[in-house]
Amino acid sequence: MIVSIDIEEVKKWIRRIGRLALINIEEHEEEELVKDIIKIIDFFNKLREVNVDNVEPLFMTPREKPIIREDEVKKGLSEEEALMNVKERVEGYIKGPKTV
Amino acid sequence: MRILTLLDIIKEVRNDPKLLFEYIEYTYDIINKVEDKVRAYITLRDKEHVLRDAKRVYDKLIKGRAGRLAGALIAVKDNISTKGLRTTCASRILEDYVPPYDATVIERLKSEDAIIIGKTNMDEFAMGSTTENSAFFPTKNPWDLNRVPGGSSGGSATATAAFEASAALGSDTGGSIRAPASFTGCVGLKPTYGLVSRYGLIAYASSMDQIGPITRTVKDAALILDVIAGPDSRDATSIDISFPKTFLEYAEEGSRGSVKAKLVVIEEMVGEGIERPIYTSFIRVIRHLEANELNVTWISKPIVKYALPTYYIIAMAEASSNLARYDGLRYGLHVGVEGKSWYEVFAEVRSRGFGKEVKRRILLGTYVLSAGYYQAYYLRASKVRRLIRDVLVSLLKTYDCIISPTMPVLPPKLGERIVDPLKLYAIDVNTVLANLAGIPAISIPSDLVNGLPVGLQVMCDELRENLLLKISSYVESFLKITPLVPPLVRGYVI
Amino acid sequence: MSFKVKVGLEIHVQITSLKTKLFCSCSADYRGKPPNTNVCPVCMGLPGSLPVLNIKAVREAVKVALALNSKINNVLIFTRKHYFYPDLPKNYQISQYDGIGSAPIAKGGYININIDGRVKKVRVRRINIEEDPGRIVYPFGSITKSPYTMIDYNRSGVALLEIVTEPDLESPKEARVFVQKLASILEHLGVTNPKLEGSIRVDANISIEGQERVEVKNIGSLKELEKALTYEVARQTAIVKSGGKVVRETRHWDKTKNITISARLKEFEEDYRYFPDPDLPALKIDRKFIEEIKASLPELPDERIERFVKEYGLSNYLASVLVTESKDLADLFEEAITVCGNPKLVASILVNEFLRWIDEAGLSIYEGLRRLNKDRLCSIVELLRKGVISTKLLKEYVKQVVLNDVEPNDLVRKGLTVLIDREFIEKIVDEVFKEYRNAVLDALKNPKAINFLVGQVMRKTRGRADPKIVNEIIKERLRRFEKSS
Repeated sequence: MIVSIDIEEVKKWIRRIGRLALINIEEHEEEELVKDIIKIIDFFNKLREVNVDNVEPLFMTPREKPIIREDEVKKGLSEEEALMNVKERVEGYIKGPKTV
Repeated sequence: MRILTLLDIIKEVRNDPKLLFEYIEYTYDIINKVEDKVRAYITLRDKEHVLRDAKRVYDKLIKGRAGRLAGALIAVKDNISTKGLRTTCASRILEDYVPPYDATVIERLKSEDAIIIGKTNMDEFAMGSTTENSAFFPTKNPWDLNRVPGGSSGGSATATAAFEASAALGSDTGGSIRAPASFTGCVGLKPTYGLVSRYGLIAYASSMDQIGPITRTVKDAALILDVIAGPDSRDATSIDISFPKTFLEYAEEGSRGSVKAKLVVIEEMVGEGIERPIYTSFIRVIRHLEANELNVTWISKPIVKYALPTYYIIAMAEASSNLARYDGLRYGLHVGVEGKSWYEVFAEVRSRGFGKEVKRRILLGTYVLSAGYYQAYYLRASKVRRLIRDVLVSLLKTYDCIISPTMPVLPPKLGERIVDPLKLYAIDVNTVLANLAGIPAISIPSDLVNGLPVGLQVMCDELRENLLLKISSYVESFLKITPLVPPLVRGYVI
Repeated sequence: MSFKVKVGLEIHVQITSLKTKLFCSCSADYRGKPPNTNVCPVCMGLPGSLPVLNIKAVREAVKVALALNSKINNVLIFTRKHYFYPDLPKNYQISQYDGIGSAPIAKGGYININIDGRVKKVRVRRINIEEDPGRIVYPFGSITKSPYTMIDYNRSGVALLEIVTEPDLESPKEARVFVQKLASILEHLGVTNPKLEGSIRVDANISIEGQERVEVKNIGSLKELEKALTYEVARQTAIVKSGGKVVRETRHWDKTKNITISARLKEFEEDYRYFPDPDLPALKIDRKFIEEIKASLPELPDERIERFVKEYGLSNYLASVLVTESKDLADLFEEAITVCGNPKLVASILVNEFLRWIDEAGLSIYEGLRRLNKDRLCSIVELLRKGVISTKLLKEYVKQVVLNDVEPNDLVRKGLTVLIDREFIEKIVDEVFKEYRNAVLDALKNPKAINFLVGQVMRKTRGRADPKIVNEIIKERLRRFEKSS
């Protein structure tokens, strides 16, 4: 939890979260981002003032009859449609990066 | 020919189908004159293509077999998938993405013979309240070109307000339909969560996103809602409900006569953070409401003060998840893959393709879901969300509607709010409640202050769009402000 | 010195009884289709797409949970599991999780296995429903040599059940037997067809005597499971014996080199950031739903084994092998005996002879059963009953049918039948008596030594002589011999 305003700590944190989210932050962006993030987390921490004992979380307003699907095949995309936005292809496959 | 509303054009072309072509020329004429100044569109369709579509609609009109929206030129927010028509979310990462399928709402519009005229500007991935976060360019408010039109559906609201379209579709996650509607003098409706299918809406925060109309009158909004609402087998969160009358009929009822209703004002929604002119205007409007047999009570609900952090925690968390898929492999901004590992490639694509605000929200969203913090943030926010919803829903069992100013400020100047994220987030203070609770909310123009539009927000209990439209139509009828025509286009609008 | 071994398994099985994928209406039958031709906006993860649950997948999952004696949760919640990988179109997998705001479809349960003559209970920790990722193809064969990958999303979105066990298994053999039993249960339920390539995938967690556990992935088949785990036990044992400590890590099984290789540790941590999927409303699972499914459950392996023992008088061993080796084997057994009866004989043929020969020939059980089908099997039983062949010849018949895919009648035509011509056998016996003088003398003293002589006669007649007649003639010749000396 960010309690201190140690800029270096926050920078390290941003890099760690950046690795989880696969978002690189350039060095020149870091300074400003750090200040903003400290402010926003502080703003989030306001919720600590609320008593949430015995409260069930609400993830979605409840549905009486959730919509489900029967097991029937329907037409999907043609190969052309599926790949029309793909920039690098190899024989019908999508070309991808290494996995090691 | 007097065409100020969507209903006007629909009526006119039914009487005289040829007018459709004139209307298209007229609209493109206005676009040519003002679009350079306001920049509502990211992708404007070629007039030739639109005229071709119009020919088909014309043929149906003559045969008397045209749909309910024949004559309409609809501007669509650029996060709603349109088959074969570029859909960018105002982001570099989707700059050249062309969807191979139509969103359900687009299918429904087309099946009623509406014509899509173009895709409108927005805050990147719907993250923002001023449209200044677009990766391409900001949209300007037609009422004052130095001011923002609001966001994130700024382009849609501007297109509607500046008569560059008959009406528009926007999306609303924390106020993104109502804020720009309020700032540009339009009507903006966010339906009950689940009433309108999200299939094809490029997701920001899945548990709150909804598509809705931005129009010049309440009846226009009701008609569009009639066409786009309803269960969809491709959206598991959509709701199956039917009303005895159409939404348009409810709105017409409201405009015809006296509607008795009990309205309530939550004090905290008109408290600190509300600019003086907004407050005074609101009080004036309340007197007007009371003079028309609408009962207004004031009540305090402190939990409402926690709505903003609750909203942002949840929205950012869901956004970080929904935006994980953008890695350049199947669509979007691409980086050569050969010789590189997946985490290198993905990180490069995402760092280059996402704007500052989007990156910030993804990082924060990742944080509030991460191990060790999930309980303190996402889980806690979800609990506060339940408290907020319970309070609102219970209030709406006693009262018909909750009213408030839609926005706490007049339309800000460009650059004013965007410098500080918290300043930006703060203008959502009244709109996020409806998204957290899943209830419907509408913003209708209620005043002009210093020549700038001010909106009144009305919220009802979930799935009570019938009541919402009836009451807001009634209020609209005696406020007598709509349809508004900004000075910018006054010379061109007939 | 051997160390105590602990193995826990994570088994992913495809619900192959479904026509469509878990969250979209694309066909679940992706095998053999050209890449990226079995996709839609949902399973490709296109922007704006949404998942919608296939209700039959839930029914199948409940069947499995019931068969494994697991406790089914009363509400079905899906969770997003986040990680970036090219085969994951949304860079999160819709799965389930055992934590706050979330729950697997079922928890607890067990499967009983027969190991070394006793029954062992192996506990199940949980059962999840989740979606399969797409497939990554490595253009130059190996994961390390390829400068890029090729991705096909045809399989993306297919319904999977993840079945996780407690670390109750204590040897590679037990692990294999367990998975075999599970596959049999799934096949009997009609939920998974183990014949389909990739329908059952196993990851194992294995540790020895107090050391860290190692995850072993990329195990492609049952045979490889036992090999991989045996290798791993040996590898870990060697480390400990030389005074070292086993490192906690993930290793890949390389089936060409028959070793496990350390998977490169990623520099960053794995944090899946689970949260309930807001696109999928929670689904209530009530008693009625479960009861209906329970009532419609087909006969499960344990029940079938019991019935084989009771109805057909089979030994527990024969019944177990028939049922758990493959459902098709047990089905053939039951079909065959309706035609030719003789359950104990048929069972013995299938278990003792048939399985041995397909193993030797390296055939799949399905190819083997295609060759030794019901008609041929019954044909052989008939030939034995009629006395055209002896039990010894019967074994030869099974071998020929399995190895060479021939008709039993062809073998009869070739003359591979019991020799009952007394004159001919007498001649052979006389020959043997001449060649093996000493053996004859032995046999006079010790009756048991007759078997050697019988053996020689059988050898000379290539197994065809009727053993009964051979025995008679030999005994008669011995008496004559005795009298004359």
